[in-house]
Amino acid sequence: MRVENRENVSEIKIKGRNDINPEIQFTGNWFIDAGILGFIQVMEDVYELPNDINDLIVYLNKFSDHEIKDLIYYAYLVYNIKKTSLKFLSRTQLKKGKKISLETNEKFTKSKIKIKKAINFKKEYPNEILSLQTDEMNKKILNYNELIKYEFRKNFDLFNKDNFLKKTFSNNKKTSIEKIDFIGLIFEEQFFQNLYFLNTSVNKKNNEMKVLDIFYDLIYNLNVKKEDKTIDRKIFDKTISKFMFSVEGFSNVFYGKPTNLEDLNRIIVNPHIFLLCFPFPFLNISKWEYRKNIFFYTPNLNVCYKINKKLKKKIDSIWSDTGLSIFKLTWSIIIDEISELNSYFTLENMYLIEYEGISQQALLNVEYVGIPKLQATIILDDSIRLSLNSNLQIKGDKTGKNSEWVWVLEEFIKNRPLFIYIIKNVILRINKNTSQKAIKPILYSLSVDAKIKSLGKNTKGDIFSRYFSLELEDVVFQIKESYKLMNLASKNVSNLFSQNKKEKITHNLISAMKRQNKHVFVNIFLKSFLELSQKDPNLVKHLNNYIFNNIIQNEENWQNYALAMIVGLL
Amino acid sequence: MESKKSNTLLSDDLWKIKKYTNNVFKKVGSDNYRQKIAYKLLNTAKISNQSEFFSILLRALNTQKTDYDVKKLAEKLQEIYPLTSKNFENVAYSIIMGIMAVKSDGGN
Repeated sequence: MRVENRENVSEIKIKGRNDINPEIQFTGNWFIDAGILGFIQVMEDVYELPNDINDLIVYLNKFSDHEIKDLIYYAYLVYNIKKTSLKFLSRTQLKKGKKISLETNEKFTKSKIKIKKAINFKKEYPNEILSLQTDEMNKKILNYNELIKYEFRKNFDLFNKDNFLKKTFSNNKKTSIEKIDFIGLIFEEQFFQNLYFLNTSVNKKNNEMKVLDIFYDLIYNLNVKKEDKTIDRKIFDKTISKFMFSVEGFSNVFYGKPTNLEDLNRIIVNPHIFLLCFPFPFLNISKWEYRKNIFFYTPNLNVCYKINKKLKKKIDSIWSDTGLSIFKLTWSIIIDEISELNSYFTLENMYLIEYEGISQQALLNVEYVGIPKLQATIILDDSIRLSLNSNLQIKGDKTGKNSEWVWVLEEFIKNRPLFIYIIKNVILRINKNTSQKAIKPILYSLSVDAKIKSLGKNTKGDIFSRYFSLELEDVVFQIKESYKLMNLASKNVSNLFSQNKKEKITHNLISAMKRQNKHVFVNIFLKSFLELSQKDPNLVKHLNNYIFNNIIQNEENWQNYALAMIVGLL
Repeated sequence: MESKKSNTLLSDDLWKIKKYTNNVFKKVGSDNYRQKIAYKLLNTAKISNQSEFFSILLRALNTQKTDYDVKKLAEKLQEIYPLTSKNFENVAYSIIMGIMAVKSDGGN
C-alpha cells in the first residue's frame, strides 16, 4: 500500500520540474536557506557523506527528487529520535537528598553513559537506505526507537523503583521512565508542536505506525494538515513554520488564496523538507538566565556552513568556561572568517537571527542583527578592525569593583555612537580609576565616530545616498587621515605641557567638553599656550592650526578632535 | 535657508579673518604686546563681551589704519557685522589665533 502511494506521488508533475534533480543551493531567502543548512546537518549526522562541503553538495545533488525524499524520511526521524533521546537523558536527574549514596550516584552516571552509547548510532550509507522498501525503513526506525526505550527502562528502572528519579517532565509530574512509557516515537520538537503527527494525542504508545503514516503523507504528498474539506492540506502556515500566521486563526490576513507548499516550488523543489529542517542550524545557548537560539546567515552556502560549524565548536568549548559575551564570541568568529575572505559583500549581507524560545506556540524576542554597508567597509581594514576590537572600561575602579566594560566593535556594528563610551573611559583614566593605557583604540574610535557623524550629517533626509555614495570607498582613507591628525595633536599636547600643568587644565577641559562648549575649551587651551614660559614654536603652530581647522571651523564633530587633545594630557 | 547661507559665508571668512589678523599683527608691537593683547581678548571672548573685544582690537589697529591688511580686515569685519553670539565667538577666536600665530610664523 505504502509503496503504491509513493509511486503515485512520483507521477504528480510539479510544474514540470519533477524529473529535475533538486538543486541544493542557497536561494537568497534566509528562511529557506536556514532549512537547507538544517537539511545538510541532518544528512551529515545520519549518513556517511563526503567531509568537504563542496563535495557534499555535489554528492547530494546527484540524488533524484524521489531519492532525496526517501533519504530524508529515514534521516529526519532517526535524527530527531536521537536528538530528543539525548535531551531526555540530560534532563533525567536523581532527586536531591541525603538518602542517595555516592555509590548510587556513580551507578546512575554509568547508566547514563550506557544509554548514550545506545542512542549514538553508526552512520548509514545512503545507498543502503535507498535499497530498502518503506516497510523495511519503518521497521528500522521503530527498532531504533524501541532500543532506546528498552535501554532507558533497563538502566533507570532500579532508580525508579527506589523512587530516586526526579520528576522533570510534563511540568514535573513525570520521570523519564514514565515519559518514555507514554510517548510513541521519541520525538519532541517545540518548533513543530502544531504538526499533527507530533501532537501528544497522536504520538503516544502503540500509535507509532500512525505517526509514521502521517509523516509519510507529509514528506511524499506535502500534506501538512489533517483531512478537512475547508482547508488546503498543503497550506503554508504556522503549522509548518512558527514565523507564519495560522490560517485558521488569522483567516483575514490572507486576502487572496493562501500560499501553499507547491507555490514555494518557485523558490526551491521540496520546500517542505527544508521548512521541516529550519530549527536545526540554530544553536541553543543557555546559561543562567540567558537563553538564546542563534543562527548566522549569509547568502553564501559555503561561508554560512563554515561559520556556523566553527561557531558551534567554539561555543561548546569556550563559552562554558570563560563566560564571554556571546555577542563578542560570535561576531569575532564571523569577522575573522570574513576578513580572511576580504569580502565586504558577505559581511554586509550577514545577519544574526536569534530568538529566545517558544512559549505558547509563539516565538519570543526574535531579532535580526546585520552589519550596515558602511560599517562593513570600515571593519575590513585590518588596522581599524584591530583597534576597534578592544574592550573599554566605562565604569568602576581599578579593583574591578562594579566595573562595566564595552566591546567597541560590538557598539560599532550596532551602529551606536562611540563617543559617549570614549569620554567615559577618558574620565576614568583622568581619575586613575582604570589601569587601561592604550591610546590607539581610543583615537581610532574617535576618528571612526567622527567620520560616521559627518556622513550622517551630509546625507540628512536622503535615506539611500549613504549606501550608494561613491565617497564610501574613501571612508577608510579619511578615517586613517583623521587618526593621523588626532594622533599628532595628542602627541604634541603631551610634549608641550608639564605634568603639573596637564593635571591643572584637564578637569576644566573635560567639563567644557561635557557642556559641549567648544569656545570655553579653546579658550583654556589658548590661555595655556600663552602662559607657557618655554615653548616649541612649531608645536604651538601645529596645535594652533589643528584647533582652528578641526575645532573652531567644525560644527559637526569638533568634540572628537577636542577629546583627542585631552588624550594627550593623560 | 538664509541662515545656512550666512553660516557658509562665515565659515569661509574665518580663514580670511585669521590670515589678515596674522598679517596685521606681524607689523604691530612686540611679542610681549601681542601676548598681552591676546590674553585680554581671550578674557573678553570668554564672557562674550563683543563691544569690549572690538574696542581692544580696533584700538590696536588704529595705529596702522593706512595698512593694506588692516583695511582688508576692517572691510571683512564690516561685511559680516552684526554677529550672533555664536558667530562672534568663532570670529573672535579666529582673530586671537591669528595674533597668536604671529610668533611661530616668524613675525617681529
